[in-house]
Amino acid sequence: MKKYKDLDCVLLVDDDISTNFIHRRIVENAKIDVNVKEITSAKEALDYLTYSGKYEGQEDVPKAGIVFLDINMPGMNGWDFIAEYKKLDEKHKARIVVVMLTTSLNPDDEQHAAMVEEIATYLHKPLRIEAFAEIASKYFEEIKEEES
Amino acid sequence: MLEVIDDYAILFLDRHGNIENWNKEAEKIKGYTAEEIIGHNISVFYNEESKRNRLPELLIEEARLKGRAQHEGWRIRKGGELFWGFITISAIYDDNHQVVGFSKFVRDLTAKRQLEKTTEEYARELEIKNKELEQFVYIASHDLQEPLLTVKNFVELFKDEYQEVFDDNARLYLQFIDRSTERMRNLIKGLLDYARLGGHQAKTLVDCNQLMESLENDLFGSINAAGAEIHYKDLPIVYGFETALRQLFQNLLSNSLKFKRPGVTPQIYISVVGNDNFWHFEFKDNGIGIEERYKEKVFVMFQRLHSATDYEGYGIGLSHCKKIVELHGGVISVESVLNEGSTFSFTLRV
Repeated sequence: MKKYKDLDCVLLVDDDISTNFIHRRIVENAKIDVNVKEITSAKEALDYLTYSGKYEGQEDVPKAGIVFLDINMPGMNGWDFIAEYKKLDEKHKARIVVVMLTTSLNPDDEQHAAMVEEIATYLHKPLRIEAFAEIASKYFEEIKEEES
Repeated sequence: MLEVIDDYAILFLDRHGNIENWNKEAEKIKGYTAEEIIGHNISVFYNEESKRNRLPELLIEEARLKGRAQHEGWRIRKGGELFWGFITISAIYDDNHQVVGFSKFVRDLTAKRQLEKTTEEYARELEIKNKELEQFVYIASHDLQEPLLTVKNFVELFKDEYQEVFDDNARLYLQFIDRSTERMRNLIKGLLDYARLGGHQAKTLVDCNQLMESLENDLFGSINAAGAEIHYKDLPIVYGFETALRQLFQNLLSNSLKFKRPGVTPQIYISVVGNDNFWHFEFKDNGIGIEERYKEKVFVMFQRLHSATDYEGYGIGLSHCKKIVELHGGVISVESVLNEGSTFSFTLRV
């Protein structure tokens, strides 16, 4: 099990429950010590990050390090989420890596994502173990435990 | 006086179609000065093919017999450049009613002609593109159905034949597959229905009162379950595609029932005003309403505002409504206040 500094929790934001389920499995199989939180709407994801709405007063929930964000969601979609996320107080965004995950075949989406500073990278679904491991090691510092 | 009439080239011809008089505008349109052209036959303005077909002679002949001849077509300017001319040749008579010559009016309609041609071409291209798109959706959705059906069939077999060996986890996986294929089936069906809307049908007179009565009958279960009250009277008889209109009304009605506010009796008001060109319909409810920023999005295919766990659906109904209204030459829009209700307005051409 690897452990990364400041990577306490991976937030899976997708309206499709089965997609979240698969992604949870992938994150769990990556042999990285991290919590997984599945959320089915962009609105709730914002609430989670800012401890508001149903997460009001729950500052003890694990702080998200990576957000895997679906683009195509009902109501507030991935782009709308990014627009709101930009407005958040720095303290809520600190050390968060947003990764756009999509089934979209539209090249415009990828171009759009490349231009948004808040989006670390853009991946096609499903998430792969290697891709997740790579993101973790690229953006977070591994905590090496003493051999015992 | 002839010198000052703009837009029209005015020529006087002798009995044989030779040019005797020439105004300034003629010089502008045809490029020749009076000195250059007087005495020549009008056939100099015609291309080889027209000359072969004896068009100039035939027009003179027609004007001689009927008093007047008109023609529209390509003509040649000095230097060989083409222009689209609209010409009128009228006979001039002497006191004994003998034809002594002709007047010829020519208008240069090249610009108008080109505009018409561009518009025509654009319309034709658009029609072809639309046909292609329709075909594309139709074929794509048919071909998508097949592998989907295979997945569905084998999931059924798994459930039947391997019932005992599956643990809870495996059953959960199957449930995911099942739900996804069912969803896909519905999305494809929605796409297919969309492509088919209004096709191969004739417009008829549709009595909207009868339409509503039969819908209330069909939707009795859900109307009753929601405890909804539906108000309308004196709806018009409209000319349109009956099945499509029925679907339009049904989708709007079902939406109002589905997106009702918890604990509030749904009140649905349908009203219509008409003018010479359009019927303006309004479907007003007191449901959960729609956020301002999603007013356009709701009419886009597969776009949903709520997660499947809150409200079931596929994001198809209103996109169909939009196409149906447009098939009837109208437009559809929504005005709404969140937590107060929505009013869908649409027009149908009379």
